[in-house]
Amino acid sequence: MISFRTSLARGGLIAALAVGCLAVAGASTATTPGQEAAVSTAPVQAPHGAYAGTATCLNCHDDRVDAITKGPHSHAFKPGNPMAPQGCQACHADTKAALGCEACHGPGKAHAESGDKSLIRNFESLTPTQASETCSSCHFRTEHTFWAGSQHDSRSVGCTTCHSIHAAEGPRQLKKATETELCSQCHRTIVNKTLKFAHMPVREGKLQCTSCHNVHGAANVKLLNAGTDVTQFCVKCHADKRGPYLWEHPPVTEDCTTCHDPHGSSNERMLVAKTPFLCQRCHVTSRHPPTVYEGYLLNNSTNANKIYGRSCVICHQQVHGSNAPSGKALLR
Amino acid sequence: MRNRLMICTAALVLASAYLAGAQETPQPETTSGGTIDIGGRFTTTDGDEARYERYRDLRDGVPANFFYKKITPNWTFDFEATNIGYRDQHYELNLNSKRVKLNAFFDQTPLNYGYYTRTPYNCTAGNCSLDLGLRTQVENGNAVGVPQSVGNLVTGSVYNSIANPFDLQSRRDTIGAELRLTATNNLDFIFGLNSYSRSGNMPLGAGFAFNDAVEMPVVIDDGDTALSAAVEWASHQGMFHVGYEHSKFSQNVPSYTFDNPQRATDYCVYGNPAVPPGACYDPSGYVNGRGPAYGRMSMAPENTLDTVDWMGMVKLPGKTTANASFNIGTNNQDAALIPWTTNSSINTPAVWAAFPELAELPRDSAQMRVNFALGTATVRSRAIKDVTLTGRYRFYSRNDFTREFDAIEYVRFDAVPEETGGNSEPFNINHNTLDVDAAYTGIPYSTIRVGYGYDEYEHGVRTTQGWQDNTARISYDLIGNQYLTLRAKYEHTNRDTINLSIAAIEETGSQPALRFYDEAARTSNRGTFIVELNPLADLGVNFSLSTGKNDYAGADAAQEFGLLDDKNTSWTLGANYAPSGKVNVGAEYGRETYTTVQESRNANPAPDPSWIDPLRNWTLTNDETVNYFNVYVDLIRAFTNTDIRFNYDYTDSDQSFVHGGPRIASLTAAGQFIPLPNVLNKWQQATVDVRYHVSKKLGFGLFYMYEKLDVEDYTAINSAGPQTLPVSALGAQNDTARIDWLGAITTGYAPRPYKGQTGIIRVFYEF
Repeated sequence: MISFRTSLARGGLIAALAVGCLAVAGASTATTPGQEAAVSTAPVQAPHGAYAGTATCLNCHDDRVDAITKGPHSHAFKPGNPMAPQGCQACHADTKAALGCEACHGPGKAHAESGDKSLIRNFESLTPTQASETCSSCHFRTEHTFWAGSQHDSRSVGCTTCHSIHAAEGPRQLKKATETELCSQCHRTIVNKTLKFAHMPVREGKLQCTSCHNVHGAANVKLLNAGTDVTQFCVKCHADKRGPYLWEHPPVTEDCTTCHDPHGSSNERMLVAKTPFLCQRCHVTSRHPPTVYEGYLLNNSTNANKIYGRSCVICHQQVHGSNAPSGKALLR
Repeated sequence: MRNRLMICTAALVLASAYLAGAQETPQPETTSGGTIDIGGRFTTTDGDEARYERYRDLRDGVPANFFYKKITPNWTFDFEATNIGYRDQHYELNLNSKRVKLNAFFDQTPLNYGYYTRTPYNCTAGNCSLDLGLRTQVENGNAVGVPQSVGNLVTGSVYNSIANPFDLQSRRDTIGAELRLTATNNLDFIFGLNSYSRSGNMPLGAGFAFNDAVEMPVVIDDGDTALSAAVEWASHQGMFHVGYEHSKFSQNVPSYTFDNPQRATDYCVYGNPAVPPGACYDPSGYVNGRGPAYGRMSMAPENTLDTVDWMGMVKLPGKTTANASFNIGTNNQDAALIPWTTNSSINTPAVWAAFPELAELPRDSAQMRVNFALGTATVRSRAIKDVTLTGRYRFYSRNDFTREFDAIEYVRFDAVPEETGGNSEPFNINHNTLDVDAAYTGIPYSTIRVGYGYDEYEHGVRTTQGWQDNTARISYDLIGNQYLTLRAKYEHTNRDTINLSIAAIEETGSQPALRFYDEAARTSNRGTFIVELNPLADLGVNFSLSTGKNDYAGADAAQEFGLLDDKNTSWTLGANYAPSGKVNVGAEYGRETYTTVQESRNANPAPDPSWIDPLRNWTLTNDETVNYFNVYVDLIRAFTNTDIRFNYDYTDSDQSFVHGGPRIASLTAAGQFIPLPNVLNKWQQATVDVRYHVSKKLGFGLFYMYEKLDVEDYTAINSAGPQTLPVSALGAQNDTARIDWLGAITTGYAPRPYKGQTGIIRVFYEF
């Protein structure tokens, strides 16, 4: 068992590595403002003459005008975003401002003059990874911080797999009307679970996939958008289970999903199996726990109270942990 | 000369045209508008109305929704209000400008348990009381309190006479806000608030003895408030974010006292040789119910969580990106502790002489502190053409700094003092994960990835020191092809335990051949396969399959008891046809199967001979089969000015519990075994949403929802059925609850069927 001090040391090591990376990046990009943009964003690498201007693009692609008059990119108020009216930000420093269509599609003059589709960045012909590189040249803050190397990034799920600038059907430029519909394209069996007898309020519209998951990457496991592990994530909303308790139930402290399926279950309280049999997967080999709880007892014995209704937790109601001095068996 | 003039003129015209074109670059528009949606709702329900509503408020009335949005070149604003005035109302606003980005919301979400539920208890915050006169009758043997025999079931509990139906429901109110202030092009300040409170009642159990348990509708009044502040710096080379959050969980009902339905007074009879001289409790009180007049339990304690975190991302040369984070937090809990017991027969000098530790608590409050730390570091590089390399390291630790709490002497069920307790132990966790992956993208449309993962998990208190996972995985993804999308993945994991302690298992009173499945050695295999075919532009067919198996017994030859293996398979097949923007139809079928096998020995601890008697072994095979079906039809303006959306969802579950082994054979031979019936449920929902647009601004709508749940579950005890011998709990399912059954008084809350219909006639006006 390592100490808390060791944990801190590891954190410090990660911090040092991060600072080192920043230093490397800083050294490799220590350029004048005019050269600065040459690092990662293709559009501003080109000379001015390579750009056609948004108006030129719309001469042919007039069906795309909504993207720059109504879409979120049209109202990106921050300097540095495609349609921000601040101009090309002091010789391109950190900006795609006012580049319009060419902020994402690259310099288009050659394409406009020749009509050659190969001379413009067409997202439909890019791999998801390539497309994501364009998007992430701006969208890398906060919830996008962990995109690189994340589960979706690793499986060639890119920004354009889920989002569309020009043909969105749902909020946040989603390609489908709802998150559930979108996510179900790959996670069908998970989405189906929300229809089960015991479920979170997803099908009622009170929660959605991103209420729990940051699909763009996360520090926590399972793309959970907060907390440090599964349990510490769940207690963000179920803070009454946070404790710490005088008497912990270790599997609860370690991982809520040992007993609960948060996506839905056929059992009350979204348990992964029906009680008392779930409890008997561990508590099975002495005194009253290994009793065979079956129909005869249900009809003839006071042991029925361990089978019907709340089953084991009618007595062991503090199954998530007890703060009572006499609560070792989670009875108080 | 004329030619030159013409050329110059033409050039000027073209130039001016170009300039004009440049000047005509579309600019963001200023628009505003919204929708008022109001109507009349009518709901009818047969059966379990609360289950039909569950997280919704579908009462008759006038549901109203409002939406407004304004967009200008400099800012946007939107506001949304849904289900105004109902228990599931929601309000949200967003403001977005150059310097300020604000999101704020208020939400109510009900949790409806049952409207048929009944209870003899009168519950207020911190106390659930029972009629003293009836308790006295029961104590004196003049009435049945908690049924103890089949004969008692026929008579019924005396508490039925005062158990009236009530709405068992609670509600969660949440308010949240995030404010992002942009100080400079690179620097943001972010402030957050998230606060929820819970109110109402929830069912909670309590026991006085093995044969004397109750379920009460306890009053809940708690909540959590989290405040956060962060600074974020970003440029095109990377970003850095550092933040702080304080969260406080507040508990307005720190403990509960609850009356014993079997007793009006604490059991006290002197002269029992099994108890210390001068003491009067019954040492078998937790078995026979001769315990306290009332008990007391501790509710979720107040606590705080403070965290500081940072995260950063940097783009490096060679198409390489690195990100890292670190989070450190402290969870403090110092709630006042309730006494060892409320039982006046135990809180006496005579008992304290024999159990000196029970005279006072080791400390008055919990005095608990737990620290958390999380660190991650990920590097992804595409420095080599067509190859992506990813490495990720993650560690997590939970460090418990709480002093041990000595409870070797304690009081069980508020009924019996014992010396069989123990000391609390600090529960620590260290979790280290390393994943490395390599992906090759040189084949058109394809990504082939291989990876390896090492996962080491260490913890205290348990029967192992932890476990180590070694995982190999391979995946293939084919995407971007207009006719075919394919994703496949296979993963194999070997889990080995770290320092499995047989002694620790035996200390829990368990057989040495037991393994706890969440930390046991196992071999896991898991595979997923998804294919989507688009033979025509307007037709899509998809199929998915996933299957997995965890083999515990096979990974540890010494394991005999506990969960031996589990496996699951699920597949779906669906099709979608959208011949135009006006018509979209589709259907899908899915099926899941789950199987688990567990084994036990029905035994008392050694030296009882049952401890080593394999004839007392029994197994349980728990199978479940789940079916899904969905069909939908969307007709958007397929008919004049009319939108029609139809959707139907269906799911059913069939769960069986098959006991086996020599113990079952002997019980069967003795006429003391009745197999539990399968637990079944079938849920279906159909919705039709029709909207007719009279004009661009005005429309009428009709919404209809039909929902039905059929359920058969032996855990629900019905009031209907034979009231003469033999009484059977295993009757046909119905929606009327019986609150008095063998060994307990409950609220009757359980899975019960319903059929609900809701219709809404609405008018919507767009402005």
